[in-house]
Amino acid sequence: MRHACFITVGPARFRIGSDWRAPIDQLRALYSDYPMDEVVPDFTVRLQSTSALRRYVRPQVAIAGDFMLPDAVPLPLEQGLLAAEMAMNLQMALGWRRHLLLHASAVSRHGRAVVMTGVSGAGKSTLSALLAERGWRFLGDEFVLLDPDTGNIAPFPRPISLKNAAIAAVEQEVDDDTRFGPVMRDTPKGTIRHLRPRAEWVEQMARETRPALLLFPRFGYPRAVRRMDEAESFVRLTQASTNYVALGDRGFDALTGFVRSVPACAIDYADGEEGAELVERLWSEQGVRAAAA
Amino acid sequence: MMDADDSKMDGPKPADSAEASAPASAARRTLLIGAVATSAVVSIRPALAQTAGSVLNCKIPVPERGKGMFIDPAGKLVTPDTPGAFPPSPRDFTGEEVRQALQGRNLPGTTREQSQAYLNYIRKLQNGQSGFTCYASLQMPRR
Amino acid sequence: MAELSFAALPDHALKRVRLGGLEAIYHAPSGITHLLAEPVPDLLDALGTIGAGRFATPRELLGQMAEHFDIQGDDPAEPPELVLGERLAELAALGLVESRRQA
Repeated sequence: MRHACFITVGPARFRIGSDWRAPIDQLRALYSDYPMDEVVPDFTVRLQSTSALRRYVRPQVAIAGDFMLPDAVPLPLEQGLLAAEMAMNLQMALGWRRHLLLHASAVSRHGRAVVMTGVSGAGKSTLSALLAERGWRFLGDEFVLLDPDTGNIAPFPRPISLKNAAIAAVEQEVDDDTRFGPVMRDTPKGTIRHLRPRAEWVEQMARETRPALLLFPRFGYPRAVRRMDEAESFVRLTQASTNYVALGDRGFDALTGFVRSVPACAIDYADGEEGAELVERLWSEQGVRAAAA
Repeated sequence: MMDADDSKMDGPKPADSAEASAPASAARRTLLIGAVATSAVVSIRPALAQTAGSVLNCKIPVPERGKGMFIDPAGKLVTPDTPGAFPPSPRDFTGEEVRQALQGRNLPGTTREQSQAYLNYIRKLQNGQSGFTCYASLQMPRR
Repeated sequence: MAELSFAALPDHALKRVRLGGLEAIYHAPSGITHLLAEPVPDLLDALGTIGAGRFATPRELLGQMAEHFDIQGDDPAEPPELVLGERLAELAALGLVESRRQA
């Protein structure tokens, strides 16, 4: 591969190789605050052309790497940044074994984290971005890494992938254009724009934190809160984990321990503002209860 | 259980401490044994690489290339002259399009009946068939 | 007539964790996780008390459990022994208990 870079995110080290220079340049810009030393990588990702001709004519990026899935379709070169992100996600989802992986976002305050999980589009990414801009520490918007031995969360903060309407909503909150990556239109998930994390979140990424609240958010519904019992949380999280089965009894211990020690709620909210407010309120109440217990 | 009123907002409580199961020392209680037909065991079947699939731009051809067959309303492959059967889709559907169709929308460019037939075909996909991993990665947990 | 009897697996084969009103169970030999509802956790407890690898019929198990619980089924027309037998068969099919037919 002619062009390459190294990126460390949380505990994971990636080497990204590419047949074109542009995606590597874009990655270097988006990840400029991250450690980019040449290290022995945990995963190798390759952005490769589908054919010799297609390298130059309407170039398309095929994702390859240590872990791959069949049925994947190449992306146009303009979306190379998205391809790189998808490829990195895939490596984590299929190959990471040191933590239990939950498809979730997380933010924390005073050493107590809120974990927000749900399917794509439920709002967990945007909610984490909004809260992060309100002074919460950003721990990640795609994966939450749970240490099976300690129950702690290992941060995995990456540039937040904002989609469609969420882009404008966050652009309003963040008055600094240098925090954003390029706009990518007509991607498989609509329009996407990345928000770079603040330098301090990247600097602190090696510092673990305790989970204190688990939320199942749903964007675009009338405001509502419902407590969720341990069994239901457990089942939902087995569906939200990419490596629960692969981890065997370590995964079982990690997840049962998690749902027994972290209270959970399903929350519905009409817009980002309402959602962020709900999260802050529930987190405070939980802190009061925990202190009183 | 949905609580829209703020003042009665039902927030989370700390988890109950582990209860020791010691029938010998506990007070005598009623054991509800249910009925013969009521199963009491559910096996967890996590979706196949759910997250991994959803982050990838995957496609599902309807049907697999090279079949030359039509699709009946139940999603089975049938010969082209079968009455009521639909022709193969000229284009593949993305994982995202199928996900939305499973939630109620029509697949793009199809009528309601055609969409249902295609979806039934997709639901019957087996490991090894083209599009299976893409479809499997869309499996939603029951709410 | 040959009757089915059941026995608990050795301790290391199962991990059991209570989650609210249900129980999560990890079956080490298969790596599969199941969720159990009443009366299954108590059935497993009773078999465990009898001892791993020691077989009991549903009737024997019922007798043991009746010492500690008031047994109540949904349908008064169904003998409790039959109901418990069905649950045990379900567990055996998943490998969560051993089963055998004895003459």
